[in-house]
Amino acid sequence: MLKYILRRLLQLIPTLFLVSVVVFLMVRIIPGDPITLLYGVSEGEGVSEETLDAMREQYGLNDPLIVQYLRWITGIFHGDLGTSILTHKTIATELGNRYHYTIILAIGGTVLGSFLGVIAGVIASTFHNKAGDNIVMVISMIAVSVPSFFLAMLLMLYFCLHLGVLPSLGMSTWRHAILPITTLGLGAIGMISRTTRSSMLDVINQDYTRTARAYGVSKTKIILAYAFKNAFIPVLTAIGLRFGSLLAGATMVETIFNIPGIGTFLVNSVNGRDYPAIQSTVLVLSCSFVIVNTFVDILYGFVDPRVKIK
Amino acid sequence: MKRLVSTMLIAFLAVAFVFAGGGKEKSSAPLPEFKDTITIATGSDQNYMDGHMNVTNDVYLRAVYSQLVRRGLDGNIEGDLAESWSVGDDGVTWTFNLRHGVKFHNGKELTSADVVASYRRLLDNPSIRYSTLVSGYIKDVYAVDDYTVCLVTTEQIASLLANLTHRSNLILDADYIEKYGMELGLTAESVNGTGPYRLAYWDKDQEMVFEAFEDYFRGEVPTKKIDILIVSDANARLIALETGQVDISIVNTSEIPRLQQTPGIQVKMYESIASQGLQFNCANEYMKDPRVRQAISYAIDRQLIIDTLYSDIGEKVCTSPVNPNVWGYNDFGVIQQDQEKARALLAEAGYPDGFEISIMLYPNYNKSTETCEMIVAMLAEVGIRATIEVVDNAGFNASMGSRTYPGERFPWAMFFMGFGAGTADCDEGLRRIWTTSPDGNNNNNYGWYSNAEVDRLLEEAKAELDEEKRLDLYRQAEQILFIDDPAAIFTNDRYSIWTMSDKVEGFEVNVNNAIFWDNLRCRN
Repeated sequence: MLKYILRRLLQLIPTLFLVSVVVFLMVRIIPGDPITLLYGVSEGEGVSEETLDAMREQYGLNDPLIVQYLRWITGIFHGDLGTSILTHKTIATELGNRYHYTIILAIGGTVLGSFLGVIAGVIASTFHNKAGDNIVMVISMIAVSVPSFFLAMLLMLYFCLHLGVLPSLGMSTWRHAILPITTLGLGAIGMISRTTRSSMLDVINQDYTRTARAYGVSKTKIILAYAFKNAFIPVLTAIGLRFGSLLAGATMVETIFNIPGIGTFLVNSVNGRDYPAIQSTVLVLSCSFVIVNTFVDILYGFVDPRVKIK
Repeated sequence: MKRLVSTMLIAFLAVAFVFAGGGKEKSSAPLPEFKDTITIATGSDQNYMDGHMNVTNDVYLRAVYSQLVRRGLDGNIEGDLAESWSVGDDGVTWTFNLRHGVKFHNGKELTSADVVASYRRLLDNPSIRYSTLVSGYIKDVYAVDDYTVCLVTTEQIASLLANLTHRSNLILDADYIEKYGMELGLTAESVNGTGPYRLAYWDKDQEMVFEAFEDYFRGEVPTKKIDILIVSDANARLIALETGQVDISIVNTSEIPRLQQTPGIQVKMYESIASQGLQFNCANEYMKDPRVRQAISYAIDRQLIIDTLYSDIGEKVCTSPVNPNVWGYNDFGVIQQDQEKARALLAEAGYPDGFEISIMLYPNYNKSTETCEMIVAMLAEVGIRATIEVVDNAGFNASMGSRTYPGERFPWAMFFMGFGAGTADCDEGLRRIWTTSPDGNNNNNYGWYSNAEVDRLLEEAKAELDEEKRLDLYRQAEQILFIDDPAAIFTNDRYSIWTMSDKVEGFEVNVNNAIFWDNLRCRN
C-alpha cells in the first residue's frame, strides 16, 4: 500500500515538471510584461525605455530564460515560491492568506453539490423514464449548462437586491459564504446527478438486484443498501474531480463575489503579468489538483474491494 | 424513500432560511447621525500609493499626501503645504514658505528637509516614474531654513505652479525615502504622509483602509474611516451600491440613466481635464501624409458618435485638442463631417481607392469599442477599410512602452487613447504629448507626431509669462493639431462620474478627479 502511494507520488514529478515549463514559457509569450505595467501609461504619460530596462534588470527579467527558470525552480526546492512583483509580498504569504477562502468554497461547493446531486441522481434512477426522472434530468441539464457567473448574478439579484437578506461582497462572515457556495454547489449538481443516475441504472438492471427483488426485499432497501453502495464508486470519481477543480480556484465565482481567494489572486496576477506569482500559483494549484486525484484513486482501494492495491 | 428525500429537502431549505435571516440584528440604541465608516467600491487598485510612481489616478493619493500647492475645487491653484510663494528676479528661482506645525502620520513634523528629499529623489533617480517629467522643469532644490524651500527651474517656466499640482509633486517623508527606497508606496507600512487619512491597511487588489489623522493640518476630517473595496466586476459593484453594502461606487456608464431614476441613489458628474479619441500613428506609411489624416478627420461624423453613444451621460464633442478645463484651451467648434472633402484629399494623396489599416483598441476607455466600430463604418464610406485589433491592459502598456522609432512593435495605423493634462495646463496637455524631442523619441508622443511649427509654438508658450500672449500661442498650436495637421480624431471630453447613496454628503472632487475629504460624511 505504502509502495503504491509512493509510486503515485513519484508519478507526480514529471507532470509537475511539464506544468512548470509550460506555464513558465506561456506567461512570457503573451504580450506585455510586469515592468511596463508597473510603470504604466496614464493619460498619455510615457516612460523612457532606459527606466524600464533598469527595472527589468533589477528583477532579473533580462537574464536568459534558462537562467530565470533555474532560479525559480531552485527557489522552489528551497521552499521559496518567489516574491510577487506587483504586491512585493512573498507568494507563500499571499497564497497562505488566501487559500482558506478557496478551501471553504471548494469543500462547501462539493458537499452541497454532492448531497443534492446524489439525491437527484437516485431519484431519477428510481423513477427511470417516468416524470420524476425527466424533471430531475432537465433540471440537472440546466444546472450543467448555466455558466457560474450568470447563476451568481441571478442569485445576487434575487437574494441581495430583491429580498435583501444576504450580502454579496467578500467573505467576512459565514453569511457571505452562502451565495458563492450555492453557486458552486448548483454547478456541481449536474455532473454528479448524471453520473449517479447512470451508475445506479447499471446496478439496478443487474441480475442480483432482480434476484433480491424476487426474494421480496423492499425496493427502498435494495436501492439504499445494495444498489447505491455499488453505484457510488464512479460517483466518487466525479466528486473527486469536482473538488480538485474547485480547489484549483473557482475563479469566476471568487471574482464576482469579490472573495480574496486563489482564483482572484491568479486573475490579478495575470492582468498584471506578475510572472513569479502566475508561475508559482499555477504550480501550487496543479499540485493540489493532482494530489486530490491521487487521493481519490487511493480511496478507491478502500471503497471497491475489486480494486485491490498490490 | 419519498419521505426520506422530502425530509432532507425540507431540512435543507429550513437551514438555508435560518442562514439567510440570521444576520439581521435589531438594536435598540439610537444610531449616531453619521456613519464612522464610508465604504467605496472601485474597479482597480492603485499601482503605488506614492505620487512619484503612481500611474493609476489621482483619486485617493491626496487622502494620504499633500504637496506644496494644489488644484482646488474651483480649479484655481491654492497653497497646500506652502503658505506663500514668490519668484525671484531671475525668473527661475521660486521660494516657498512652508506652513509651521504640519505633522506626518507618524508624528514627525514636516520641514524643508522632507520637501528637498522628495524632489531630490525625483531629480537624482531615473528609476522613479516621474523623474524625467519633473527634471524637465526643475533643475535644483535647496532649503533656506527649516520652513523655506527654493526650487530652481531649468528656464523660465510659465506653468510652474500648475506643474507643481501634478501628483508627482506629492511630498514624502525624508526618512521613509531613505528607509524604503523603491519599495516606498507598495505596502501600508511604507506610506507616511501629511494628508487627512493614514493608510492603515492595504491588501493589494482587494481592500484599502484609511483612518482619519487627528493632527491633519486643516483639522480632522469628519469621517473616521474610509474602506475602499476593489471589486473588479462592474455588476457586483452595482449590486453592492444598490443593496447599501457600499456607500459610493464607480459603475458602468450604461447604468447611469437608470440610476438617476433610482430612489436612494445619487449620480454626480464632474468636469475633468480629460478627453479621448483615436490617435494617429504618424510613422505609419499612410498616416505620414497630413492629407490622409485630414481626410480621416473629415470622414468622421463626431456629433453622431457622441449623440449615439454618450448623450446619456451628457458628454460633449471635443472642440479643441484639450479639454475646456485645461488652461490654454481655445474653442474651434465641432469638426463637421465632409465626405466629399475626405475623398478629394485621399485622391490628392494618391489613394483614390483607399487602403487597408488596422486600429488598436484597449477597450477600457469608456465606450471605446462602440466608438471604434462607428469610426470603422464611417471610414468604409470614403474607401478606407479598417479592422479593429483589441489588446488588454498589459498588451497596451507594452506597445506604448516600446518607444523605438518607427515602432516595429507598433503595426497599427491608429489607436484609441485618452488625453489628459494632469496639471490642467496646456504645457502638460500639449507640449508634453505632441512635441518632437531632439532625438525624435519623445516618450509621451506615442504617435510619433512631428510638426516643426507646433514644436516652436509650444516651446515659446512654455516660457511666455504674459498670459494673453501665451493663450494666443496655444491657439495657433491647437489650430494645427486639431485641424490643419491633425494629431488625432478627438471624440469626446470626459466627465468624472460617481454614483453614491443619497445619504452621502459633502462629496467633492476637483478637475483631476481627486476626492476632497474635508466635508465627506454619510448619514446613517
